[in-house]
Amino acid sequence: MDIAQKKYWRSIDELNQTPEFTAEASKEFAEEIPVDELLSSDSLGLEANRRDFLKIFGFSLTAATLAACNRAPVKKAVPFVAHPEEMSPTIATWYATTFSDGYDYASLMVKTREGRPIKIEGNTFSGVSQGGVNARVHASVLSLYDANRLQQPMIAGKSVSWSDFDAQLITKLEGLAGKPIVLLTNSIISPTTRRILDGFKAKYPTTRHVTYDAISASGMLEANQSSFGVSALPTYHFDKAEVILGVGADFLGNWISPVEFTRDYSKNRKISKGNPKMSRHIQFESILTVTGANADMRVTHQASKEGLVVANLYNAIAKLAGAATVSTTAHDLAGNAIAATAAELWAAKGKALVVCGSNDANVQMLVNATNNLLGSYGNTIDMAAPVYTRQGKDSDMETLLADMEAGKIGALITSGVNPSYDYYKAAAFTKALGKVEVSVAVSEQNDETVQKAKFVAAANNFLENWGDAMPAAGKYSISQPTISKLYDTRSLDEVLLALTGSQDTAYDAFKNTWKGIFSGSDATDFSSFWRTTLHNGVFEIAVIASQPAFKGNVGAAAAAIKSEGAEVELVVYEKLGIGNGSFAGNPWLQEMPDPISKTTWDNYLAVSVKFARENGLADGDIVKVAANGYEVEVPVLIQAGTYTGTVALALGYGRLNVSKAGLGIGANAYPFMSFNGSRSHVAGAVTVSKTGMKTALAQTQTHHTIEGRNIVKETTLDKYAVNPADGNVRPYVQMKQADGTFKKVYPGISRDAITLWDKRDYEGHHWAMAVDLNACTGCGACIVSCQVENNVPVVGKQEVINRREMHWIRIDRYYAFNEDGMKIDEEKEYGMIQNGDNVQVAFQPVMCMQCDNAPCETVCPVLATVHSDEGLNQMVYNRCVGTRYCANNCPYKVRRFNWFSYTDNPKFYTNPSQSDLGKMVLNPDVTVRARGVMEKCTFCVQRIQAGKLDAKRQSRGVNDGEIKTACQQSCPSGAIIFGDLNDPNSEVSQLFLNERAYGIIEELNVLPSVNYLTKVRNTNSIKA
Amino acid sequence: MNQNRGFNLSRILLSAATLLTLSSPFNKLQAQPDGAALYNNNCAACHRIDQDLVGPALGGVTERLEEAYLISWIRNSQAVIASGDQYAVDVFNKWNKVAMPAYDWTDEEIKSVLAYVKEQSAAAATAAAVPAAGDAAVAEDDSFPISQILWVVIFLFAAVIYFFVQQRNKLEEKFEEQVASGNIDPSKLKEIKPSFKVKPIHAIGGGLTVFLLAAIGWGVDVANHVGIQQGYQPSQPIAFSHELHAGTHEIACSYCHVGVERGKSATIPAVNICMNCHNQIKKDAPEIKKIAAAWENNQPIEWIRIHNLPDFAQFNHMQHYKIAGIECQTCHGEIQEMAEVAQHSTLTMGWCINCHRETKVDLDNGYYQAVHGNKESFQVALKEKGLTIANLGGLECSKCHY
Repeated sequence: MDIAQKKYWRSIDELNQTPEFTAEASKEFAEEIPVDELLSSDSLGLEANRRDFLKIFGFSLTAATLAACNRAPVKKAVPFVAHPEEMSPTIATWYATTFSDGYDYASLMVKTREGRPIKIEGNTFSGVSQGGVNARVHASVLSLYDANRLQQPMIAGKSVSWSDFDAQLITKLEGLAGKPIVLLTNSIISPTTRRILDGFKAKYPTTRHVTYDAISASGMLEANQSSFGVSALPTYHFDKAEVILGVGADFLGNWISPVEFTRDYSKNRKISKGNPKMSRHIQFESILTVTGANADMRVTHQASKEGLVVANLYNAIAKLAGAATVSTTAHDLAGNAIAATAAELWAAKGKALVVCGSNDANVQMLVNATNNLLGSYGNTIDMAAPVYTRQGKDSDMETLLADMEAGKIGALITSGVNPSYDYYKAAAFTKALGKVEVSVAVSEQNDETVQKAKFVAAANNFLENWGDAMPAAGKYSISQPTISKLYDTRSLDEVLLALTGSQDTAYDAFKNTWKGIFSGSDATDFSSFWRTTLHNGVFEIAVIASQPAFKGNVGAAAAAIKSEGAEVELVVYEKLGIGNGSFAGNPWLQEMPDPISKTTWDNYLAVSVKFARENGLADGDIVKVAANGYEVEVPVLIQAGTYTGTVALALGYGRLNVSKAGLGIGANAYPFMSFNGSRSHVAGAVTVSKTGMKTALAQTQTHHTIEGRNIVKETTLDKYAVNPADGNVRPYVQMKQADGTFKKVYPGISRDAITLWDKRDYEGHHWAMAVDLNACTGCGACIVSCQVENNVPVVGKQEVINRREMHWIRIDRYYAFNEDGMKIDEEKEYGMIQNGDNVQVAFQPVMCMQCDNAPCETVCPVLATVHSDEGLNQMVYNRCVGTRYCANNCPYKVRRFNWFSYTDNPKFYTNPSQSDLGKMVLNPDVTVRARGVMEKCTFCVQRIQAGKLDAKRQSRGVNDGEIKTACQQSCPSGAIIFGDLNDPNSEVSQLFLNERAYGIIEELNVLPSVNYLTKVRNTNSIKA
Repeated sequence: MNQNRGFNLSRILLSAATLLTLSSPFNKLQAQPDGAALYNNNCAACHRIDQDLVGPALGGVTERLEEAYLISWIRNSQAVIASGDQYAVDVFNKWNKVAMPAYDWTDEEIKSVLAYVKEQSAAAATAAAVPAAGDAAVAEDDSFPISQILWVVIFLFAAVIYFFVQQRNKLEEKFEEQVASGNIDPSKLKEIKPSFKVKPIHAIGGGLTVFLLAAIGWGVDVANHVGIQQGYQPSQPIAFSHELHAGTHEIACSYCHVGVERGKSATIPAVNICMNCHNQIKKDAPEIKKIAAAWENNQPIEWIRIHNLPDFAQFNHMQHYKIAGIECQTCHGEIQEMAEVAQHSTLTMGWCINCHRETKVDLDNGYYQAVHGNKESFQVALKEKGLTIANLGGLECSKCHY
């Protein structure tokens, strides 16, 4: 297949040419002008007609005139009484801290302004998260200002003081007469909390600690226990792997430590002429994940056949290795993929890595055995450096629930968990909670589990805490408060210390732990060690230990693997935005388009093309899904890349007790899980039946048309090795020379515009950005980071359906279909798609291109968008009158119009800046835009200005890489590079000269200041 | 709250007279310059001529005490107290046993200080004899309001109308003369002579036109001043005087406005900065008691904000003060002379832009050398006339609006 001519499709809709799609595609602007809505908004309270319009117009004019006659209102300036030393108005203070909620872990730098945390960024000192932060952690800063937070301790629904709370609870705990106290928590990785827990156990000897992870790695823990005698996860080194096989493991999305893995993975995906090498990534999966979308080869399989796939893979490799095979049902995937992959893995022995997302201990045992044969341990997997971020064993929770139901539990203290929502038997858990004598919930949120608890200990937000974390052996990081407590709350540490009767504060306990860690380090002076650690946020020591030997019983594991499947199977999975659902009330995450489906504000049943066709389903049809004695009604979304016979529903939706932004969004998928040694994410025997109802899905990808243009350019690794410019044909013009000959001129390369207007000289800086399509995984961290940095409003589901989302950066996702060597180039070929599961995906982040010849600038009648001497396309809100001509004339469709006043129109209640608390998160360096003005990406001009100012103050030039845009800073794969094109040594100007660099639709001669590097697919299969 | 901006001749004359009277004693030629500097740098922190501060008022001290006694006191007051001198011990006890630092000065230096004190005492006595001056002369509005131009136009318009009416009435009279003299046949008069008489409708029309023009003139004037608060001078909850602190005592602006060297905001000082000095100085003054109360009750002071920039204008004090080296007074006016602060500048965009057009950039800053240094045009400009901020993109929207 000629990849350069590959045809990309934005959606199934486009390919299928549905009537809705063709109707919308013909319009330049999809949205109708909402005059009626504007006039009938609550503030006016009128039905709209011409007379009313004139009345309002006349009245407004008069009122404005009269209002203008008055003096401006008196404003107050209220300085501090005692100015805190560490804080100055208008100057940001940064704190190093840690995010760890038992699901995500990241070492952070938190930006505070006037004492308020407003932005989270990665801590580059951390060897774990390595300066990367995912979308959820970016958005977590809003949880501090969440209206659903508990504000004081409560007993039986009544607010009490902490001293009463302590006294009453201690009496209750001491009067349990030998019945056990159970502490049910998420995976605790804090050494201090563990120490305090030991103290608690000493005081209350009947205490039992149960770890519960809503999405657990129980199968892996058990497999590692029986394989190596270590009940922990290993450290993975994706950067050392040349061939990676993922079997249902979404390691770039949600699996274990996605930020760390993305950082490592992308190191081997950045290629250059000098080093034309990249890793080869093969993915076997049943639904399309971000990881699968980035794979060089992706093969789908039935969800329940995961174990068989792994067992057959083991056998194939064992044959190559000359080891004993196991007895299992022979099974292969399309194109003998297992045998081919086994050969590739074996050829890369010692540099190969197999990861599997299964939660079945037997499957994971076979994966361990495979990795053992491949020599991965000690190379790409480090079992001697255990990872502690997942500690929950599913069977412990089963036992606990049985004990609770039997009335054997005296007291249950929950912390950081919400089993009344996210346990698959949530209803049973909630009921059993009634049989526990003393139920205590230590919770930050007023969530489902808190509802039934008698004692409710309002917990701190992580940004208010002292604490620490040890995500992996030898890798410590600290948490420090970035703001004083907003409410009368306590951390888990403080709650437990009080119940133990200790006089220590959480800070004392924390510091004492670190005195212990200090004594194990080679530092000599504690106070300087302490200061350095608080500053750096991390303390890491090398763990020198030998790899434990593999001693697993492979045969038994293979025999225990189940191979029977159902005709229709349901997979419940995690989305990159919502994850396990603990942040379902976060409007930024709800509005972040899912990287794959580009759907916001909902979960939906993802079905394959074939399944939809056979069952007469269309996008938005509401179906009833039933399995495991549970049923929900959800809309259907036809998702390319889904295995036929597999349907998928995302977890984390359908919350009942959550901030209003998340209320009533989607359906809860947790009850579809089942327990069989560990919790399974696959449900067999699923019935999907139509209800006859239909709803609209708020998808963003269908909001623009590409008119068949070649926007995503790509090549293959072998072609790249021959010609680095392969697949990157750049437009040129024939210019007549003085001697009558013609010369090819490439405006995009020479940046020498052939233009009607005066040429611009960029005498100082010329800001530009390069995006490596080969590194971008489409994870969407940049979208949330940009939203937080630039005060981008949340508009809500209906407005997204109306195509009025406000994100300044979007990630376009494209599909290419290639079935049995047949590519789909024309709409009429839609019928040729059998399953739609063999899909190639490309991601492309699109922000304002800051064109040198910007088409938007020439059409603005009021000069509200003009060009700067530094190459920026400036957008001046206070000049904009809202004609929207600029958006009409923008070839990239990156301009966003404020149709409404999102900050105070109650219709947009999901926008965080509508509440006083939510306003705290606004960035004071960026104007909050009013109704009726256009806005767009500014290249984070506030950061450019601040960076230049720093340079001027220190009387020096701006160093390359010193100024980072928000999207660049947040990108876990380092796909975005920003810098000065006028500096010939800057990374970005080097990248602009790269053979892979191109601008989108540069034949328009708009000279975009954003260039993309072609995507390179490693289609070379290494022959054994 | 606005100060009366009208012209009041008597007040101006009175103020001018007062200033003349006051200015002569301040003439530094009459005092040893050495003494004045020593006094201001060392003594003024605790002593005043005419009022008690941390230490006693010094007015007339040279007459109360002998010079030799004063010299030994200034050299080492603790030694004089230790010697058991009753007067010294009494003074020490009366002033809360705050030890005065010892000054290792020569006799000449001490004498020059004493001469300066004597000098000042005399001046204070003279000043006390003059009645307190009223409000200082009001700063003239140096802009020429558009309304004044309009009034002139209206006046001229009315004058022209008046002139034409006069001419027409004269012409009418001439016609009547001609008719009377029989040169014109009265029956044909209507055919050759239009009616020149000014009828009431004309007067009303003219009046309306004038009124309309006046209204438009007024409207334009108002519209041009919308949001401009130049001269805004609210009364503050505490009568803090920049004149006293920045003027008389020459306390550096950045001592209190600490943010000016680092941040966007120069910052209004926190109460603890006031208390740095006022936990000692003038503790009993009623205005200072307000500060002490704020400090003790942990109650912030709500100052009335004078300078209000819109949220979409990103002004940075550090950039202007620290990097460009702009004086505070350039925008805030002669702040050291303001007993009560008023907004000096218009704070309009035109005002900002104008300064950016005129102000030369310090091209020695390493930033400009690094970023523009290799450009030929830059070197030419550097040699010839320098570059203004506007030349380097300082008029662009995104420099301030984002």
